[in-house]
Amino acid sequence: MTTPGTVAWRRLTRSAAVRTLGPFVPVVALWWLLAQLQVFPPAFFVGPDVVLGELGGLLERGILPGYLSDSLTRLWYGVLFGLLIGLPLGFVVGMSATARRLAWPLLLFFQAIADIAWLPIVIVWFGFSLTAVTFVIVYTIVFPLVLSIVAGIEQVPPELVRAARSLGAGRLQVFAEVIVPGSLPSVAGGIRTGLGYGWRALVAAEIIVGTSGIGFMMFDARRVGDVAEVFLGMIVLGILWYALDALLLAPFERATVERWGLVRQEAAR
Amino acid sequence: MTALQIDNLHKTYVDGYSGDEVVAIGDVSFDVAEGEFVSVLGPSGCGKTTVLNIVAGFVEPTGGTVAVAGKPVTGPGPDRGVVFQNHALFPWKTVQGNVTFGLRMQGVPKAEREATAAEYLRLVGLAGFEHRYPHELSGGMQQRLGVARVLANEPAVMLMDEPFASIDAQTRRKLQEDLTRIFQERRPTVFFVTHDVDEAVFLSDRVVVLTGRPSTVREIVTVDLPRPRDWRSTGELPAFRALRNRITDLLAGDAESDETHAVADPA
Repeated sequence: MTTPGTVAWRRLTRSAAVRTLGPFVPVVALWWLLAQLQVFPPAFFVGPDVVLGELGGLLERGILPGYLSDSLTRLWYGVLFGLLIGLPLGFVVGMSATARRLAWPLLLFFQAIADIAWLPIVIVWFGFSLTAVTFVIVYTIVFPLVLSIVAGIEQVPPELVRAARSLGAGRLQVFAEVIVPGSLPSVAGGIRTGLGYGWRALVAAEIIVGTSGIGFMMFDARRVGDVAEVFLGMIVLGILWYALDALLLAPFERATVERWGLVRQEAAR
Repeated sequence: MTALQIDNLHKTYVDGYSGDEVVAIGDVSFDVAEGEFVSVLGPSGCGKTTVLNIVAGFVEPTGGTVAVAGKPVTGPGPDRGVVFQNHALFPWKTVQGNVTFGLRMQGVPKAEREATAAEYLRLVGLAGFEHRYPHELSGGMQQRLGVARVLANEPAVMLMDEPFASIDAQTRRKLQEDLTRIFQERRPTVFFVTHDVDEAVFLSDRVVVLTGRPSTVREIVTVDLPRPRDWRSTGELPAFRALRNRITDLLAGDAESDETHAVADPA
């Protein structure tokens, strides 16, 4: 049945804003309700209205934009170097059996040392600096990236390599024309995972190394008992990640692996 | 002129689990003349695809030689284009990108490759689909593209590995008719692997019937049905039926000996 009501509803649910924000409506409502009913003491649990007020104050004083740009700068450097190291390393380890034999035990060993576990020694080496934070982010990004690239290369159907070879492609051409695009779904997944880990590591590093940044802001707020600012920090983290995904990662995947039919497209798209 | 020459091909491989030596190909020899359509037919698991893979250069034989246009095969090369059962199209390339791939690898200039591509896409009935991606095409269209991609490269031999096996029955008949028409027009040399007797008889000039594993050539049957062929008339010819029955008997004789073999050796 397509009554005017269902048509309007369908049009509403199809709009991007509603699809993005809709799922948060009940969450925020529940949050507001919990705060309003004072299920938890107001000193520990503040409602959305209070957090919104906090946001206004921090924006006015320029603290949030400053910290935000600090965090994003660190993330940018970390991601940049992480990709510069991780992508070539991943393809070398994935393509060469010798490199894989040599690197695999090392990869597994170093992957097991959590990013945060490096912080003590990194602080000794680099002090409370951008280098220290960048090191930790790079570290977190490289390992999932390398492992997904290796998995991605293994997933390239051998028939496609054979097809390319029997059409006259040499080894380099097979790599550029078949291996790289064929492993892209997994590589994109690896970049996404790596970025997610890197983002978390950044916040953790800022809490410990903290001189500025969102992580520092949250921990500092905790010190003075400003719960609203802690809440705000958590929300900013979520929004930033969502924006990063929606503005960079998702469009990249839409233009490549989804266009090529390598992964199932979202049904609603 | 002999386009493809296969002499005393032999292949054993070591089973990964048990470590046993398995003889896939016992002794296979035959020739394919230039402009000839030859099918290789055999019971499933008889190693006919292995023969194709050796000719393609994907697999090394343990004995015997393969020569294409007099030159021994040492690895994959553009003189032997392969049409795969699962199409093996490049999903990240458009129809155009797939058809021109081989020419691009050989450094043919853009304008020339696009002219060639247009010609072969028209030949297989895919004109107008240049900018689609493979996943946007039906299974039948994908395999037409697979054929065009190989033909555009003008190989000495086109190798086809059960190309229509994963396509629904009606489309398959249509594709077989299209293939025989293309063969009629262009006279490429074709080496065609199948387990479908009707398909082999309908398409081929000669049918190489293999025995079960370890495979040897049981018989090479000459198909002297008139061309052009189509299912409606060719399929009704008494000669077609006679050939089909003869080959079916050849294969069935093998199935019986397979069973006695199975009883004697449960492995």
